[in-house]
Amino acid sequence: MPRNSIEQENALPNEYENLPDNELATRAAAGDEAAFGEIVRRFSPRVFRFAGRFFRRYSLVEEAAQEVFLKAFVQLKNFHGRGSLEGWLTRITVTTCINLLRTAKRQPELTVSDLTEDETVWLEEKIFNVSSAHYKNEEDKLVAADLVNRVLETLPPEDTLVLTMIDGEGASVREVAAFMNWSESNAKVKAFRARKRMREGVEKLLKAKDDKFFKIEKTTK
Amino acid sequence: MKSRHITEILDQTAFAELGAEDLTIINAHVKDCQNCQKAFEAARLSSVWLSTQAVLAPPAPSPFFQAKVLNAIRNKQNMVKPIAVFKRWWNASAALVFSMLMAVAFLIALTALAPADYDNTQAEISGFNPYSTEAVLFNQRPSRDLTTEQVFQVIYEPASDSER
Repeated sequence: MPRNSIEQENALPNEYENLPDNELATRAAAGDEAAFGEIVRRFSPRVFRFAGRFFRRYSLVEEAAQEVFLKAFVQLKNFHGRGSLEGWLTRITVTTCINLLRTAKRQPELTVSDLTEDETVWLEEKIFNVSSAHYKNEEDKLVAADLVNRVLETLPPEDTLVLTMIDGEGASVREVAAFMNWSESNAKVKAFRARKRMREGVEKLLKAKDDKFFKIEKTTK
Repeated sequence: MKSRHITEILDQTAFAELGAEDLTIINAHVKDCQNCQKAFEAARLSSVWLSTQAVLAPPAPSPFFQAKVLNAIRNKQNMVKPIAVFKRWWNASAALVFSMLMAVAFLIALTALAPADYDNTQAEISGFNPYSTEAVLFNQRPSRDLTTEQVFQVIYEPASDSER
């Protein structure tokens, strides 16, 4: 195991690529920067994917991921290899994202002025044309994702996670409970409340759409 | 059926997981209840939008992300250094202050415990001043038992013949 800087310099990048996770963690905890670099390379896609569930803007996702790895670097000495490094990093990701969302000011409710004319028309056209589980057209997917993110931004961070995992990705309540370290009944209650808030948010959005569409129609006539 | 029942069904499970029986109850109810129809529509849209969001490609790290993280770590470590210097300085000062306090405590203990060669309290009670004219004239450690009359006697008694 390279403990000093000379050995670290002699270690080839390929050597790190083939190392198991726990070995990388031990080396990184001992101050081997290249080993930590390999951890970042190996796990950043997963951290980005999880952070992407909480944040809409890429810059925010990247900021959260960077924060996760900075925390991981500081706390690596406390990682004793009892669980997997992947699971440990995922837990740090979730807590970091929730903390970042808690400190950030939550968006107020969506209002009529938040919807552009194009979005209003799109909603009016597409609202009844969705029969499948999701949109087929790429543009529709992007608009839908943007709208759902805007509603999610008005909800507490834990609601966002529960909804994206259970209702979006099809995870079970048990999986979410295990992931968040909650009891199953607690996860069920949280999911119930989150769905209620989400539904009410979308109802408000649709009401805003109706009001705006009425105005657009009035001006075009 | 009250509208509460429909919204409860909608909120209890993910929309995609609703069974045929639930959907029959919901469809039968929303025909007559406009509020529940809106709630049903919102729940359906939420489900579609959330699953659409899930199938979108997740954000991927840029090729420079690894370098960014390592740079941030180096910057953080550099920021930590002045704090470490301050800590060392603080520890050294603490040792110095501690030794000074120990010295002061030692001196206080010495003052309190060491036997005094002159009892100041007694002097204050008797009104005797060791730096008085009398003490200086005697040029010796004045006796604590000397009364004022004796002192006056020594000062004012007529000089003996031999002295004259």
